[in-house]
Amino acid sequence: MTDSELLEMFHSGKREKAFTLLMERHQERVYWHIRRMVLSHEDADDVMQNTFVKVWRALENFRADSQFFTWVYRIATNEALNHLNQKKRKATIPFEGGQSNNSDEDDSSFGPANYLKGDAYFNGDEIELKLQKAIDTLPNKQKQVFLLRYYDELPYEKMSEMLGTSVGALKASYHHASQKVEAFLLKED
Amino acid sequence: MNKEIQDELNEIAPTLAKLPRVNAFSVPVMYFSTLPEKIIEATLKEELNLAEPELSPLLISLKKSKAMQLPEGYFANTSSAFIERIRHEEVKEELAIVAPSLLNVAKENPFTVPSNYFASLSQKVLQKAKAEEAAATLSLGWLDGVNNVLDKLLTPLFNPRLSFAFAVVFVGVMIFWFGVQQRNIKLDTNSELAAQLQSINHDEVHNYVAMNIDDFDETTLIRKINIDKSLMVIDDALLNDANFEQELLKELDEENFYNNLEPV
Repeated sequence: MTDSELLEMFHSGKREKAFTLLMERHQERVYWHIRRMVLSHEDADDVMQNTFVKVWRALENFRADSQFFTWVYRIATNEALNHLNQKKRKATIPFEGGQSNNSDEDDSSFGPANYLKGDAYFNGDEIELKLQKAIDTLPNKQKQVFLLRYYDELPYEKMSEMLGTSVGALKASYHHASQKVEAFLLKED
Repeated sequence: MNKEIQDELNEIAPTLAKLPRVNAFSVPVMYFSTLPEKIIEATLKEELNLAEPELSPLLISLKKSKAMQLPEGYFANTSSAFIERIRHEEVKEELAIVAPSLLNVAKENPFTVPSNYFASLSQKVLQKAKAEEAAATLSLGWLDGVNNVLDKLLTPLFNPRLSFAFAVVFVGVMIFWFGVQQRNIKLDTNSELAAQLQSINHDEVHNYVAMNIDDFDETTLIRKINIDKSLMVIDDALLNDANFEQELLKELDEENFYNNLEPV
């Protein structure tokens, strides 16, 4: 069954069945997108649940103007960013008076990648760990673009549709992000 | 029929010559169109039998059509597989230009999830969504109850004309009240404040601080106590605007001071 058919099924009254099928179809892709942003499984699980609870609530009014996955992806991205910002605020409360916290440009001060080494659900080697730390230093928008291009290998046109940003801006973002990540990797510890 | 043959038949067997020439035989449908294929197949089988009659009877028995098969949906997935490969190459080429060192990092997923995590996730989400819906319905139900009671009480009192009149009166009262408030704000706040401060009992101040001690950090609290002590020994004549201003300025740094200034 296609997404459209499942949405029809949802609107025809078989809501739980249709929702379960839609979620089972997309959950892994959405999960890995969230996980690469928030890094820990516990955080990813929280964001996943919040995302799909919102999808459940809003699905009644979803009329397929955009693709279902694109819509869910946007909700998931917003949830993940909110989650990161909340965590960052909590993490910086004891350090009031320190450096300022611009939500989009100063994410390196938070650094959830620093906790990956002790994470039971992370089994990467030193290089992988360093790569995750490097990605974690990127501002949120650049991080999103880098993840979508580097890991998901999405074409810029598709990313433009998802993020509502021009192809030119996305290319520039990806180039900056890749160079920053590379510089971080080449930097001596 | 050839005329010579017909003449000959007339001489030999005139009755037979008079019979109509109809073909009373027929062949199975599509017989001739499939005949060459059948003949080739039969020939190949025969050749195989002759060539390897004892080597592999099993091979002979196998149908040729089963020899090579495709995975289900192979052609349906071919184009997407090609597109995926093209994208992969594009990303790789781009990375080689922008950040070549990243090409050396293996793109493996270092993250894992608990076993069976995805199997139960949709049910977990549904349960959470339903619980939230139930909680929302409960609180809405309580509000609806209050609303219904108010409706029952107020509806008989108002017909549409009375409602309109009530609304006009209500808006008028609100405008009047707002005007009075604005006028009060414009009064000399400093003299009022001085008068109010003089009327406050010190015990009340201490009680207030004791009850609301969490509202103050340590530094502010110590500073306030010092101010109170100084005020206690200062002559009442010193409680003027200039002294109050001086005390207030001690409390505020420059940025806070400007942020706290209210437009006149």
